Amino acid sequence: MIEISRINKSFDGHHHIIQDLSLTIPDGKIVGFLGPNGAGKSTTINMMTGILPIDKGTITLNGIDIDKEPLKAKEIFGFVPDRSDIFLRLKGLEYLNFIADIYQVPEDVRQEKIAYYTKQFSIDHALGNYIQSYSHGMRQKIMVTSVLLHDPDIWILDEPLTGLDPKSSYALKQMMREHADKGNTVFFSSHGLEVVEQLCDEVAIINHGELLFYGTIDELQAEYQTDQSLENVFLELTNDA
Amino acid sequence: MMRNTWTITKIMLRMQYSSAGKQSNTWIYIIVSLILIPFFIMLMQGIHSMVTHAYHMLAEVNQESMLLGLALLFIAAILFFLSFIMILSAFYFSDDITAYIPLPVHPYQLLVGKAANPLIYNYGIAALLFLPFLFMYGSISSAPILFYVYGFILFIIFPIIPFSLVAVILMFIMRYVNIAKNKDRSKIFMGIGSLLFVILVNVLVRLNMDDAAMLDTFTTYMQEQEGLLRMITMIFPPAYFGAGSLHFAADWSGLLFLLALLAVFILCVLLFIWAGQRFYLKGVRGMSSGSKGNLSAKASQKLTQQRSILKTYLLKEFKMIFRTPAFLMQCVIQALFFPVFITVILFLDMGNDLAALVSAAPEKNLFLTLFMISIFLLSTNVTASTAISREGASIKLNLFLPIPFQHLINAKLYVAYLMSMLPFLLLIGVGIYVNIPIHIFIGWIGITLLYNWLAVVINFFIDVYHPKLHWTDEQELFKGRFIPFFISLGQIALFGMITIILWNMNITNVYLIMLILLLSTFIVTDIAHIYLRKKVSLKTLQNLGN
Repeated sequence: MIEISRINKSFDGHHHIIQDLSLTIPDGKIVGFLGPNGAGKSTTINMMTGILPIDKGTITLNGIDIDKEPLKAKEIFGFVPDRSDIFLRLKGLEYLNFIADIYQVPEDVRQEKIAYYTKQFSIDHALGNYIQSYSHGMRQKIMVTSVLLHDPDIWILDEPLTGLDPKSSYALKQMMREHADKGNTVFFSSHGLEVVEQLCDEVAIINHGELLFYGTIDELQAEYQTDQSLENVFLELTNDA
Repeated sequence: MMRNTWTITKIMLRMQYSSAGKQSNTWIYIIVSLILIPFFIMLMQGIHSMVTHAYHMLAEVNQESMLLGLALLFIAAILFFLSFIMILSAFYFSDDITAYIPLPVHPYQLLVGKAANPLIYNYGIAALLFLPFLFMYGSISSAPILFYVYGFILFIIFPIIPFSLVAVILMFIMRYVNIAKNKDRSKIFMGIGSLLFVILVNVLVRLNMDDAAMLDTFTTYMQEQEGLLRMITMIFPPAYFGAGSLHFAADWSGLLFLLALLAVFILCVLLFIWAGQRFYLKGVRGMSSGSKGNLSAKASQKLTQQRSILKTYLLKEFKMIFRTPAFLMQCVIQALFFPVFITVILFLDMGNDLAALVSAAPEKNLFLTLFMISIFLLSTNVTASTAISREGASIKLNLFLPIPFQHLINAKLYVAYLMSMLPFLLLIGVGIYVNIPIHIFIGWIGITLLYNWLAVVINFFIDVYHPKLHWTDEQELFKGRFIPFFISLGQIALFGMITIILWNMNITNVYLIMLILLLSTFIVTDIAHIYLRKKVSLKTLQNLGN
């Protein structure tokens, strides 16, 4: 479970990026995190993962405060960042092993998982290449594989499906579903509203750093008294229509 | 056409200098200047007295023009060497060129843009070396006003000559090494290769020198008007023309010398543009970075061995430095060049002379000289001052990983410490070869090991507080970063002043000198270390670049 409680973030002390945002993401659910560009999605995710400090408020992951016990909290989630241009001068396999070392995954387990997941994502043939030579989609796949290696309870994924080919996208969606069905948490941001509609149990919509809605798609349609698609409601809600 | 060239140049410069000076760093510049000014004055006084002595000695035999030639040769040699590194970095190691290739501009226009930044550095160095000499020589020789006018023209055109020549050589070579399969590897190979080339040229020149024949030539040339100048500048005629123009500034022949130099300059520029148009893009395009992707079961097994968090992070840092051409050049190869150069020269022909000098020099002076060499080598190493910046904008992404904060910091400090030690290890070899007395040797190693930690901590600290994270190309990281440069100068100046003071004091006991330096270095290191532990926290890294 992820509990975000009245968090605030500003970069210059005046201009608020996130204002009093509260959100509880329960176990066993896939939650889509939506919002237009610059709404504060990545900032929220960066605070959840300890990349950015929180100005005010708290975030706990399975009861562990990311600010007070960062190491312990970081061990229980896996994160796919929105940019995949990191560790470019490591080979694919070196990167996976680096992550496995950091999370102290036993040697036999890591070898088995690397073999399995890289085959699933069809990148097993490229593990000896530098990440720099990978296409965007392949980089994304290696990042996703790294999260799967240490089997974290919580998955936090920032735009995980961007750049994936249909087969890999399907495989990842299946994995997300299976992970949530086992009672774990999957939280991901996306601009692909169709995917969110099809995959998520609940959605959280933010704009200008404030939470506009949190609930199921049915609840969203009920609240706005419409049977229109998520896309239309989203556009209306964020005043971008 | 000119407008496009200017626009490209402006944009390229802006890309490299954009993140410099965003924060208010006035206090750093003030403090460092306060340290630098007295050091610079002391240094200039020393050089002035050397130039005066040399001038009067040579003037007695009517050969004082040799001094001008020597200065220009020295500057040309420095610019040759630096141009090799800077041109490789700017022209070939930076990938931003791919963004400009689709634009409707000529290759030479891109080249002019690319050349702007290395040329700014060349002018900076020329200003530092040539202008003070010009005024010293002018005042000693009571030179006419035209001497200074010609001197200024020389300052403008002279640095471009060695730069263009090096650029033409490199463009020609790169045109043909581009066939290599791995882009990074061929860049690294080229970088090391061209430095070895510089050393090789020096070795060949020295091997061809016959001492007895040299003495004969020397005597012959000495009897001729400006004979020594002609003799020493034979290897690089532009220095002859330059020196001639200054020496005969009051005369018509001075103008002729200047015109000759101007002709060489125009020729070099035209050659540069022609070579750029013909070879440059062929050298940067079409390099592939592909390699064998499939790994054997054995190789996979080896690559998936379990390691501790600190060890794995250390390995990652080393791999990043050794696999990124720009990092490898700046952090390792460049730092190694000077010691390698010295080693080769020593082993060739000066080993015995230097050993004799070492045994004849007072122990105190020997120790202080060795100490200053260490200070210079360790302060200028850029591994620590780019420890954070090397990761670029993705530095924060390391923070989601459950790596203990202290491991993160220590890994960066240890890597910087070890990288800085590489050139020093070579110097230790030289030390053994020239028979440095064992007690001095041990004292030198001890203080160097300690000082290295201080330099690493200071440089790391500067990078934490003034990182350059938003580079689009690794090469940009090393451009326009004046604070680490000034801090390095400040370190050299501070310890340089201490050394000069100790040198001039009446203490002859080398152990006492060692103790004073060791204690003062230890105290400063301890303060720096405590400060680092206190000030740099996880929050500091989280707030980087905000």
